[in-house]
Amino acid sequence: MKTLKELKQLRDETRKHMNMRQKGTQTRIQVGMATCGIAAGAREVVRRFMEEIERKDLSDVYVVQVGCMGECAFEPLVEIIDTDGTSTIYAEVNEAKASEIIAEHVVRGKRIDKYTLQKVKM
Amino acid sequence: MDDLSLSLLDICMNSAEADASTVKASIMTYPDDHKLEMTVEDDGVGMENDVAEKATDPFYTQRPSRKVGLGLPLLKHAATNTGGDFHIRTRPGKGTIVRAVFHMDHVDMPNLGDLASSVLTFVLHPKTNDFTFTYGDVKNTFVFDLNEILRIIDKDDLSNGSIRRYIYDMLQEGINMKEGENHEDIEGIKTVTR
Repeated sequence: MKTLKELKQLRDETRKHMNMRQKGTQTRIQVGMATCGIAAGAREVVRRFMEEIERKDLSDVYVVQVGCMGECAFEPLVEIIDTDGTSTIYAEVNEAKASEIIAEHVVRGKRIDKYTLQKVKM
Repeated sequence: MDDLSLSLLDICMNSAEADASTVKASIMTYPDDHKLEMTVEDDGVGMENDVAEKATDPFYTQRPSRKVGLGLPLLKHAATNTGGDFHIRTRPGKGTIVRAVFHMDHVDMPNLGDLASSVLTFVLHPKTNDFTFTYGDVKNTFVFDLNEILRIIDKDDLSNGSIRRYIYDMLQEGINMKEGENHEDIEGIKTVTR
């Protein structure tokens, strides 16, 4: 049975290994989580991004849930804001695409043009 | 929405968007009446009466702030489709209560879905702090109180997958709790036996 005491132990263990975050030099992943996003699968996309970030030990990347991004038909929409402020919006993101976006865009710095909102809308 | 868990997350997100500092969500079942009641109560900005009346109109929204979108009409539709009810009680500056009642034995009754995942996702939202999720029936009630959790961990600790998984499992345990099990001795997971 899960207990708060055990959660506390887990917290102490994980904090030993946690990297200190440097605010301001982070890549920001914004996932649209309004009705349109949630209905299209954004909950699972958020989870996948967080799992990948941890798996690849990307301490300078974080995920944040945002409201409606205005292109409801192309949800789940994900905006990646790189450390230099460049913004890329990906459309119809699913779990597999989320893993690819982390590997290609976030880790290797190569935008995946075919998944961008601009391309998907065409 | 595919299932109730997604509607729950959606309505909770409305509360976060409405700048609520306290959000109380619950899903209660009443087996004798074959009813399920989902409630989300917040102390956010609330709505004027005329706005609340329009809130379940799928063609109405308050752009650009978008306090109300498609979420409420979808939930109303899902509930009334089962022969259930839907109510909004709201006052500007005071908050909003959304209540949807479903008839569980109706053919159009949606699945519950992954409630633990929705609750955890809402917990991850940066604005969520004072949040409780209550789940149960007339005999057993499970209360997940984020305040209790946040006495132990910080929001930053949630970036760790094993912490997230632990909280997810905690939620699953409470939701799947069998009658007669007693978690009363543990803070954060309370059961009330009536």
